[in-house]
Amino acid sequence: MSDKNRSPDLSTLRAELIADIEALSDEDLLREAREAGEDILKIAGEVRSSARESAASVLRAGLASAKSAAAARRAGRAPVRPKLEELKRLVRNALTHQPGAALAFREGKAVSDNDWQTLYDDLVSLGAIKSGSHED
Amino acid sequence: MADSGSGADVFATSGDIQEAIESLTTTEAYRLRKIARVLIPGSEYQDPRELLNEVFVRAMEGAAGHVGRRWPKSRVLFSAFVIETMKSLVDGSRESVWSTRTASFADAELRATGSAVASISSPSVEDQVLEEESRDAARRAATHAAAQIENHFEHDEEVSLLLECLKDGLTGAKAIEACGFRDRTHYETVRRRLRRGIEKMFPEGEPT
Repeated sequence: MSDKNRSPDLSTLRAELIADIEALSDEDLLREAREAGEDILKIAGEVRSSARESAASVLRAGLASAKSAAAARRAGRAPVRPKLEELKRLVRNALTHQPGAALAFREGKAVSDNDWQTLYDDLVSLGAIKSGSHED
Repeated sequence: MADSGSGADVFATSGDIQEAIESLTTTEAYRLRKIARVLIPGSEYQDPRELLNEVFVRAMEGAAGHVGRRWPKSRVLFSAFVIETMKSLVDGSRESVWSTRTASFADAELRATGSAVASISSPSVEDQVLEEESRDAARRAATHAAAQIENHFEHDEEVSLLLECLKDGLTGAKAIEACGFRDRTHYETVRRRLRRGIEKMFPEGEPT
């Protein structure tokens, strides 16, 4: 037999408590509820309502998480640029209409493709070129 | 959108779980709450609602493919899944006084799918210290609850005998044979007295 100083194993004890409640017939369950002065309809309603709210909270959290992930994807997305020749045409056109900006550019001399693309992105962000105004 | 696991298992979707919640009958819902009540003494849960809600949250998270509990709806009734998950949570939430052998099917599902552990990062030293302190507190709480139960029944020889059997991990037929209960009916009568006594001791799951 066991050492008196040991405590009951809560895990085994819990399994037995569950087994006892599962063994109760619905009639026994109702009788125990009456004896304990419990309103079974009210308690069952609370369980369902609380469960419904818990489940909904997970769905809401999932939706919020999906929204913020989509926003992060949009923020980190590489800029969509037209083909290089079209890009240069749009930049030249924008600079023609904004001479001040043109001074800051090196008049097309030894300008790398990367410079064109960076300038294009800057002009798009300044609103001088409307993103998506190109054909591709 | 049902997801097939190994073998013939079909796991529930979020919609299945919501539907099952709506389909709980009055006696099923009341029975679940009654079980939650007797499970929480010695656990980190203070209220049966808190434990039940945790189950539904875990189930929904599992259905969404996150860390959680997945309901194998093709072979387990929803109520049984809720009960097993509650038990698994309380046994895991506070370390059992000495037993760690209870591995529910819900835990097994998590291990089998592997999806649960993928996103868990290694804990920091501070987290480990906190976790250890939490475990110590858990052990103390579980030991305290167990001692309260033993003391409560010290003048009831039969229930004390049943508690002795449980200390040895003996239940059912083994307890009847080893601990001298006359028969199954006798064993179940004593077990019922134990359960009802615990319900009175912990009216809302907390010690009086």
